[in-house]
Amino acid sequence: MKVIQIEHLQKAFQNNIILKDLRLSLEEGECFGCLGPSGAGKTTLVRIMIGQLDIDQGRCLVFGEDSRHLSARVYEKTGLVLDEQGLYERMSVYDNLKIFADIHRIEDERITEVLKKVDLLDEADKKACRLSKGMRQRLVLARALLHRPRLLFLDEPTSALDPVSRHLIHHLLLTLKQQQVSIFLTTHNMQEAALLCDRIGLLHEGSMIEEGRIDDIIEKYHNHLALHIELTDHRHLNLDAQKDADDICHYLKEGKILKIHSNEPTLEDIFKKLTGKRLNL
Amino acid sequence: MKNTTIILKKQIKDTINNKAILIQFLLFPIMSAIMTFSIQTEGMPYDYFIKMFACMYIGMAPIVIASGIISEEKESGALRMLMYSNVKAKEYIAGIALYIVGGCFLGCVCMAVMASYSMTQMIVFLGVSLIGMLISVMIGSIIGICASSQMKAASWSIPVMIIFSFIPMIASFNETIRHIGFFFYTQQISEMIASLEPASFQSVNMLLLIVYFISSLALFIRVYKTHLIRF
Repeated sequence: MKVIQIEHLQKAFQNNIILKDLRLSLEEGECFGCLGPSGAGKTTLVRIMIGQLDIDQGRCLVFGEDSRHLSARVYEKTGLVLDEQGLYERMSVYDNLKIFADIHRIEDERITEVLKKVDLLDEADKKACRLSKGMRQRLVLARALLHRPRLLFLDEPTSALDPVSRHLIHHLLLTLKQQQVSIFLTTHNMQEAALLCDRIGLLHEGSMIEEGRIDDIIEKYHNHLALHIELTDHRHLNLDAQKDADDICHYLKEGKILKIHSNEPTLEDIFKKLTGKRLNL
Repeated sequence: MKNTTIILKKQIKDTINNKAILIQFLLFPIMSAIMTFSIQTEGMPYDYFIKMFACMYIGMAPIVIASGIISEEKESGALRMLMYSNVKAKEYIAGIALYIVGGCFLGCVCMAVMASYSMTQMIVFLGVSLIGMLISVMIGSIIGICASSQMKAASWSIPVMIIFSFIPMIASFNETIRHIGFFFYTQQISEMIASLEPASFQSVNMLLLIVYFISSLALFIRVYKTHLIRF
């Protein structure tokens, strides 16, 4: 079952086209990563999907409903981690969650359970304004998970976080994936995408320039002839398996090869090859 | 209704830590208590300061509090999160309005008790105050909804509340300002509170209050529909 289905989506602000003829889908229990540098249109795409922005052309369905008129039923099944955290700064961590637990008619035990999951139980009485950046983001994630959503929208959830918080969030998201929670993630961190996502889309200037499983994309741009060799004298060589076959045979015969690797491109390399720009901008 | 109660509870909890709002609720009742109990000159009515500060309270506190709360929650994204959690805009506004009117009403009750009004006077005093508070809350909400940030809301609400709350006081010293102030709802409230006798109310006082109430409600609904409904 398709949780999100986007077809020929176009969005412009005044005359500036932000998203062009976009097509993507998210299956139940799948994690889709939308990768792109700042300004590529990732946040706009999320805002369209959650019904905050209208679309100019095409269609965007979330749980089969038009994103422009999402019902309460869809929001009940959706958790959000947006760039605006929307925390009540003067209230405690627990009270921040209690408000939303009451709105969703959720028992108080669930608050403790979620706080344990994001490792914030010891900080339950701390005011939100006193939390570190990592803790704040974990609190936002806790709020998003409180009502046991079936779909999570995560807009750069680990951006500029410390490694401990990032690892904790990654671990939590992997657990959610196992529980068949669908995740739409935007990021410009390719390691994060590789770790969490089943499929990714490379967004550049509003267009999805590549989309599919990470392995398939890497395979598509992989030049199998390029080899990286480390010699016993610790010299590093990039050689072509066909053109430099004689040299490689020579090194092998002489027993001079310490390590030999195929040169697989990273997502960053592929993005740079396709756009001429770096991903992590 | 349940969500409105949750918003109301949230606001009450937040007030304990939000000194800026707490001061708005307490300032005028405390000021009127201090002035009433410390300054009593011959010929001056016992409730002189109470009536004066009540008008300022009605024209000032709800505007500042409503615009402050709504713009803060809009700016931080908290309002958006509430909306995504199926809290309807009208439930949110109702919760905020209930909180502000409730808080200010309590302040007015304290002032009325302080003035030792009779039951009729107290009902008139609180009734007129309530209408004024509702108009002020709507004005404050309009500012809060329209302003893109808390800073902008403050820069808009301060001149508005100064005009509305100070005009009745200045009007008692200047005839020209009294004529201008005639078109302000706070001036009408001031005049009605001054007499506290329904029989002495002029129909024009009532008419102007009704016009103010309806026009601020109409403007509020328009702003609500164009700005808040799409958060």
